[in-house]
Amino acid sequence: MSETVVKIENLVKRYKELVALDHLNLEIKKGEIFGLLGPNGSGKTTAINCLLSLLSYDKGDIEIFGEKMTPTSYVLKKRIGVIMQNVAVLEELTVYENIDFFCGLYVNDKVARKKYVQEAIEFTGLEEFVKFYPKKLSGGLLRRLNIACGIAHKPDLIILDEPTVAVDPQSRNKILEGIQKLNSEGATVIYTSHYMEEVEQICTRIAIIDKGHSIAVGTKDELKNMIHNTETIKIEVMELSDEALKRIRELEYVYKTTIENNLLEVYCSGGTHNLMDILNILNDYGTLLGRIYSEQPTLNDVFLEITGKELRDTEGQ
Amino acid sequence: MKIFETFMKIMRKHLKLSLIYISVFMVVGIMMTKSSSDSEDGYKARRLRVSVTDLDDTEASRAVVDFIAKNHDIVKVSDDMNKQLDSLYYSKTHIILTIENGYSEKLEHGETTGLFNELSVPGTNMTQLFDSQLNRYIGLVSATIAGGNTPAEASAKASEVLSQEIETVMLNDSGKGSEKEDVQNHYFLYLAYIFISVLINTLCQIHLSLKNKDINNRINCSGVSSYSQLLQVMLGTFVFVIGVYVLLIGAGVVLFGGSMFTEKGMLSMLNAFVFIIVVMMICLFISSFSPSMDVISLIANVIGLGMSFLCGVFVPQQYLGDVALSIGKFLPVYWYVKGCNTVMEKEGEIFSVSGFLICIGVQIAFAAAFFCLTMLISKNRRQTES
Repeated sequence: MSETVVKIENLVKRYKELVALDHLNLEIKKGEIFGLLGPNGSGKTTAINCLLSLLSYDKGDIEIFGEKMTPTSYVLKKRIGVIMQNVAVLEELTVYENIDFFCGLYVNDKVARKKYVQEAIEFTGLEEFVKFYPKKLSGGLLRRLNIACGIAHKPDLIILDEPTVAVDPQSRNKILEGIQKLNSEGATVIYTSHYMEEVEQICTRIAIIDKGHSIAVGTKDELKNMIHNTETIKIEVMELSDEALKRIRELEYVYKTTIENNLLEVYCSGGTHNLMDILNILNDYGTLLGRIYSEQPTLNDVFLEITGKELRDTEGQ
Repeated sequence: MKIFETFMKIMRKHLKLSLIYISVFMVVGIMMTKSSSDSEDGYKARRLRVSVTDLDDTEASRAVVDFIAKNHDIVKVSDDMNKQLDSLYYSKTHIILTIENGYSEKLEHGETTGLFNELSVPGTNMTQLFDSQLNRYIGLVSATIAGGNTPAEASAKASEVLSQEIETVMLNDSGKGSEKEDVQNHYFLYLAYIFISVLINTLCQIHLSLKNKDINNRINCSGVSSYSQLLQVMLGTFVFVIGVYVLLIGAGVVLFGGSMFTEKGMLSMLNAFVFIIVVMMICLFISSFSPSMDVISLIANVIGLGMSFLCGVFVPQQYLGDVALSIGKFLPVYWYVKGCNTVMEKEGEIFSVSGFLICIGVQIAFAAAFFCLTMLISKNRRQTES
């Protein structure tokens, strides 16, 4: 059994009347890329801030590397790298100086630090911009600098709080690839996001958070298996006879159908060759067909089925 | 010491504006000192350009011309009235004097009117100066003739008497100390404005950069303890403050030399040191509100100019209204200025150790008050944020 890196037990954080974290429980193992997925305001950043002792909390326990995390756990803190949601760099320093400064908060040895800074620059692809001031960098490059500042000291645990917000697709892919590379080099990663595609793409295990509470934890397949829906088939039909629709509804794995504006939606739970079965029925009745889609459930479907609301918001689309 | 090191790097980036303030201040200081040292050479009588036409041409009239030539520069102008007026208008000559025919004879008979015909720009101090000299000369000649001398003998004696130089001593407005001491006092007074402007514009910017919420969070997540963070930031702050103090006091030493190391000079330096600590505390207080970087310059101007005008940096305290003085007493600059004036015995202040210590004490109290307020605000902010 692999070592537990982070253990959060019954964490409660209140802002006066508002309960930001409601008995949150999480356990993150060594070598994982652990995704914290939830809509805006679900408590992801609050959880991270409590984890880092930047926020006090009302109840619960937090352990990192088997030790209780407190604001004065400086030895523990040295093993953690943090990349916050907002770009936190000093405007007065160049790219190189910024990385050197933040790395210098963890690494005192100048020779080692120089090597680490150079590696972080290469890792984030900022070689051409080392003498640039942050003001001169694009949004994507700033995010990369933000990451370089957080990982230069080669931490064992890296916490990334929505690092791809407002980043262009190219930079986003580069960042995600980088996170996977850091993980492959041995770092445990906690990744918070409200972009489910990103979480699905890189996370080995995911916790879905809503209203400060962990509503589901598992791999993406485990999460998807938690819900009734396994496939949604959408077919454009010109004229659909009642008889054909009746036969489709009678299929044992079909639990719901809708037809609106000539678009037939068939929700399936289990079954094999579902699309073929449905197309055969439509063919039997000589139905003219347009476009055909077969969609696998997403984490949004998981969130929708568990909470009754959409995970993705306008920003996340 | 990475935070201290970075503090210094950020400081260098924000120094530009402060260096402008310091440079302008030093240039003004040098000019003031230069002007004071020039005028301290002593009183010099003004020499006018005078045109003299001697119609009498006697020994006595020639003695007048000699007397005028001793005190002024004789210039030649045309006899044409228009040209004479032109030369007065363009200041080629200040006075056009004609010694009338019968000058010597009239003096002999005790007459002192109608001796000259004078053309000058009326009401100027130059005319008054010349008239007063000439009147004194004629008065003396007339008195000497009345004593039984001939006009020629009287003229010679009058010239001799009036040629004796009178020692002139320049006194300052309060009648105490040299003009250089005055400039030194002004230098220390203006330091208040420079300290405020330089420290707020630079120190607040550095503190705001490092205390930015996201940067601060990142630093707090590192292995550097809160105590070490505070220590490094305070060390950077002190190095900067002491640097500014040494630079400006050093400039004072260059400008005023040994007078900075007299008792008065040392006390002024002590007063300035206490004041710069007060300004440092004001900077920490301002930074605790985390204002936007863009408004720092505005704050520096409002506080710097506002306090300087209300407390007697630019306008002497004795000329300030009661309301301004009453408000000023609640501001640290007032006590700094009062301390400067007490040390130098300016503006009616008489030096006393207790009076000076009160000024220093009130400033220290201000520093302590700003420090406590900063601590309180920071604590409240930390509690609110957590």
